Amino acid sequence: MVSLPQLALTFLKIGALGFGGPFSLLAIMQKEVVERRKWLTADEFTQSIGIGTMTPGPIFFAAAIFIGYRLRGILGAVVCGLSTLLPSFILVVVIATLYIQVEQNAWVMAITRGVAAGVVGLFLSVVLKTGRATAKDSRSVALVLVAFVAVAFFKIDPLLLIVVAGLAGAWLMRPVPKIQTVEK
Amino acid sequence: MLWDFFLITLKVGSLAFGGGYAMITPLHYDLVTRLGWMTETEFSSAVAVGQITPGPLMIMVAFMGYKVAGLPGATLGTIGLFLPTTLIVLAIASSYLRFKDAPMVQGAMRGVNLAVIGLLAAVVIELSRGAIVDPLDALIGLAAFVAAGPLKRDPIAVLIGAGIIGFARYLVGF
Repeated sequence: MVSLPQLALTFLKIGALGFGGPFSLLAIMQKEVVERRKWLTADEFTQSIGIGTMTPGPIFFAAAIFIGYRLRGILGAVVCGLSTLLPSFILVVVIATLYIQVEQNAWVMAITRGVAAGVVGLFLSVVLKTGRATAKDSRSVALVLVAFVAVAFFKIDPLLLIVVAGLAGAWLMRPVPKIQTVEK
Repeated sequence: MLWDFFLITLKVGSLAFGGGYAMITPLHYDLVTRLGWMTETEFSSAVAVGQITPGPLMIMVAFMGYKVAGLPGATLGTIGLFLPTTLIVLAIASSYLRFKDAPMVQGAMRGVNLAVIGLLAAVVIELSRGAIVDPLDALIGLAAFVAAGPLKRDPIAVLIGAGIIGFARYLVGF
């Protein structure tokens, strides 16, 4: 079982070193929690993003709470949430206290532009890895494509998509107990 | 003012569906337009602080709270913004884990998971629209993909690399 200090250290690391916006944070979390420590399967990780999409507030933060709860109950959720926020909270308070002027100067913008381009490739690799583990048969791949087209080209609200997919799946994708297997 | 600020963050935290970005407009409406507790400049520097610090973008609420009511404002504002998400996720998570073996719940999660993958693929398109402007951006994106995917490099190292290339191109003036 995952210990609370391990959980705290991992999410402090994500909170302290996770630059580049929400999707870069998800990519870093996937690396730490799924690939490196194997605390969750790819499917369980995808689920936590689904929960994050369904709830108000930052998707990454909601996913972190869900993962913490899944691994260590309420205490785990609290530890993950606090560890995620603490590093940047301290930094923000220091910036505010010292009246450090933060503005978008040319240096910051140049670095941000490079990071933003990097996040595209980084996140694509996470989607392919997670997708390969989640959609294994051709019917699943087809449904992923439908969801992709609905959001990317028809601008369907992601929240609506998730709710519809959940309702449809509850009926159409529920595992049916095998009554009989016919062997030749 | 401290208490009112807390209530505003609680409200935004419970109602802003659609991720962190969906919280910016309601916060701006309450703090700048309606109450005038912050100027436009202060609000945009709060957003800039959120972008430049690691972790969730919405930690910008701590900066807003500090401007409104000092350290207590920063603390209460952060709690107010992130508490609703925490409670709602806990409620969903506890009932999900209780019923996760029920066939219909399994089917629902299967559907949600496939939709999420499609959604995330659409996010890549959306991100690239803003971030990939010229061939060098595309090259940085491709390099990040190869480094994080086939080469299995650490995402943090990949991002630092991308930032360094971005800075270098600025220095060279390309």
